[in-house]
Amino acid sequence: MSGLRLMICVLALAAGGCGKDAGTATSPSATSTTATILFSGMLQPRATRFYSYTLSAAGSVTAMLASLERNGVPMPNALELGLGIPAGTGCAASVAHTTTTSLIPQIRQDAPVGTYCVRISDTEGLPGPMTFTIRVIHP
Amino acid sequence: MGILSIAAAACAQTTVTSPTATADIDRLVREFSSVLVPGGGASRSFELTDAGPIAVTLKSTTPAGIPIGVGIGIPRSDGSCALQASVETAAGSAAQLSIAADTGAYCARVYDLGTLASPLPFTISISRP
Repeated sequence: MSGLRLMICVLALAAGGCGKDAGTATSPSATSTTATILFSGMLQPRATRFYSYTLSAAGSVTAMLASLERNGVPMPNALELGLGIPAGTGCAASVAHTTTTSLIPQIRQDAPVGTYCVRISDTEGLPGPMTFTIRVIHP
Repeated sequence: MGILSIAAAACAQTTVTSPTATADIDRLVREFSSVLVPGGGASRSFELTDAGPIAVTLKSTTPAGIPIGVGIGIPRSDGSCALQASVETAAGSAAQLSIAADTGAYCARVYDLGTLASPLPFTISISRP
């Protein structure tokens, strides 16, 4: 840019003539606090296990069936993983998926404040008892 | 007004190009060495702050060529490593196991397949976002 143009532009900037805004300040995103709960246990063939937890803030809940092992060896069997509300002596799932293990959550659900449960069920018939580990992350 | 018009025309001639921001997630690679005893196992925990693949390489054993178990999973509250997947492998230069993972705490574990007769020194590397 020539020196004359530069000088004129500087003057114009001072007078607001170039129409360029002064920059947009963005507020940093508030980082929400989350809680991580691990549920581990033994699942017998054709059985169901569930665990309750409480949300003190509304937000997104994720559930991950991370591990299914037999004698320390990961197993490929699929189980039904669900999120829901405790009902009687069980857990009434509002969302459920039959899934194998993964290190990416299989269920993600928005929920208000309240008491909830995560449920794991063998609906396909495991060949024997297996150790499962579920990770739930919630507000 | 005349000055502003000249200034506006002058500024209109100027083009400023902002560099395009590119996402560049560096891979973090850590090695650890230990000794695997017969019937035993060893695990190392780590945290992912970005989602992405976790790759584990059994780089060496002494002696070479001895197959052991290598797995990736999540740490339980008792410190043990709950495996999501594992392979039985001898040491090599390429990752023997790679798994996509969300953010959070994870662990890599090596374990005796029931074949070790004596302690086995080993080195593994863990590559992750």
